[in-house]
Amino acid sequence: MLRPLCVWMLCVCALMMGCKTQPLLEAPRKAIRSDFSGAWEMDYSMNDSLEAKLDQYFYGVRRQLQRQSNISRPERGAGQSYGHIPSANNIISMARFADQITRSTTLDIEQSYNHIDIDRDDDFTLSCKLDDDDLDPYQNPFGREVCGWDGHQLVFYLSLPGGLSIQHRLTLGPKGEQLNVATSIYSDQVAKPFTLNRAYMKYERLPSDFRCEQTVTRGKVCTLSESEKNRLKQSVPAQ
Amino acid sequence: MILDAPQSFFRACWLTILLALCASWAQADESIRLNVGVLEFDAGIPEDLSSHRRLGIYPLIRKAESRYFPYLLREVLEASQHWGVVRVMPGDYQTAELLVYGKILRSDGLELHLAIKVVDSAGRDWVDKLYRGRAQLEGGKVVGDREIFASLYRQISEDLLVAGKRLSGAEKRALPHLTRLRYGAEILPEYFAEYLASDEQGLTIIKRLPASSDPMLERIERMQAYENLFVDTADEQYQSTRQDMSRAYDLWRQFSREQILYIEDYQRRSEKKESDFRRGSFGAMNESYGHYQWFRQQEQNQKELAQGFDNEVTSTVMDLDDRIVTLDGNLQAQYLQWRQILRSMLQLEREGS
Repeated sequence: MLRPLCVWMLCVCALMMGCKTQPLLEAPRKAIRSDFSGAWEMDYSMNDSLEAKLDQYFYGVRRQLQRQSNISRPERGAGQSYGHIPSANNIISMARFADQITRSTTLDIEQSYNHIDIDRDDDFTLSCKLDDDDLDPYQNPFGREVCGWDGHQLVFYLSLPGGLSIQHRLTLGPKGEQLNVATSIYSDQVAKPFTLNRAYMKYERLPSDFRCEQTVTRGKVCTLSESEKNRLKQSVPAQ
Repeated sequence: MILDAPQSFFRACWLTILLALCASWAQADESIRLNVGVLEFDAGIPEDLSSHRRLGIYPLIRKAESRYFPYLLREVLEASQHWGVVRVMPGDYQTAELLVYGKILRSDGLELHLAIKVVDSAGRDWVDKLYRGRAQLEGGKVVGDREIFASLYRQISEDLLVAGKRLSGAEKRALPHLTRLRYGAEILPEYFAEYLASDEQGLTIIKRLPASSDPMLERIERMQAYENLFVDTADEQYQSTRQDMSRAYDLWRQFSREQILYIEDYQRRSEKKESDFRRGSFGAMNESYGHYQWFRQQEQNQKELAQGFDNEVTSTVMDLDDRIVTLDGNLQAQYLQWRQILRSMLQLEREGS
């Protein structure tokens, strides 16, 4: 009973560990197209724990400082420093921020061969023109976005004022039923990015009883779908 | 002194006659009311699809605008009372003395940039200019039903009037004849081309005029009247399109304008003020992301609204397309027949003479 669950957990862990954290390269890996389309909801059981991730991050920083101090101890004279020591506040800020911008509990993904729209609740839709060879750059007065395939992963890289960059790296699980979104926060105040993984699982959305259409003058106009109209007709007793 | 009296009387008479003649000529020039054809504008949609997002271009909205703006210009020209019949035309129909060509370079509800070229039937450029207008608002709001870019259209109308004043009376008087002869030369070049020539500037001039009772000219005039009927029918379609889409279009422009004004305001504020938060802090990250998020959400809303506009106006625009295509198809078929009939008539007349 436990065996399939363990195998599945291992798969997801491997999937998460396999997620790269470095920013989208100028020359990304050759595109291996995955199909992300569908409705996804957050799988809380598989999400990263923020505290654990922070501990891990601080442990990494301590280890690195230790290594640096060991290397430089013989030659180190008075006045020499350990290099750039990130402020704990900055790291905690990155973690809090990563947690805050990855709270979308559902994702609605529409994908065609050359375009993808990732509709996130409580946040803007991530859109990308999918090209095998080129990344899709986009700039507006508030920041710059680049997106595209990096191997089998889809990457959105966002550069913002104030030395802040955000990367979302989407990876599909082996059977296409799991989706991992690795969000990395880069700050010019901290050498290493902070990454938080969010897991989503696919679900089937029930067909809506309404067919809605956006208009300018009347807002969203919804009408009963044909199937619902027929159902209502049948339920009304003939007089 | 006594002998001089009749002389001075005659001189005064001459002067009066001369003045009266000048006045009547001037009046004649004034009374020449040239017909104006405003062509459907070039929507100015770049072929590179990827640039649409960056330039804030929604193709269907632009397409609708390319039919909407000519109608607004037509209304202003008509209201000026300086012109003959002003019609919006779906294509280059040579039935008006002046043809107005336009291209939309920018239109976002706040700014309107149009490239306008006006050419008369001699091929002379009256206006070839880039017009830039900013929405006229009072306290950030549109006043009543007033068109927010009315001053831009008025400027075009005024420039047209100034350009017209640069032409001599003879040049102006020649234009209706030129229009008719050029139209004839297009339908039946073997007959009408001999009446036209080009001057050293490349402008079309009248070499000689056919007799006013020329039967072929009369036929051409009847055809021209028929074409005017077609253009009038098309013009009515443009009018109903303008009425159908005006409410949705005004709302769309309002939303787009508000977004642009916010961005302008944000940029002004951010130039003056440093962030309140320390670089790398949670507050600074939130602020940076918040602005970006706001912009992207606005962009998304605008896209949805554009979709809403499409949903609401597509049928109107497509109907117009269908009706124009049908009308034009009928006209082209009619032309073909007419050309053949006129050719055979010409042949018969020539053989007879």
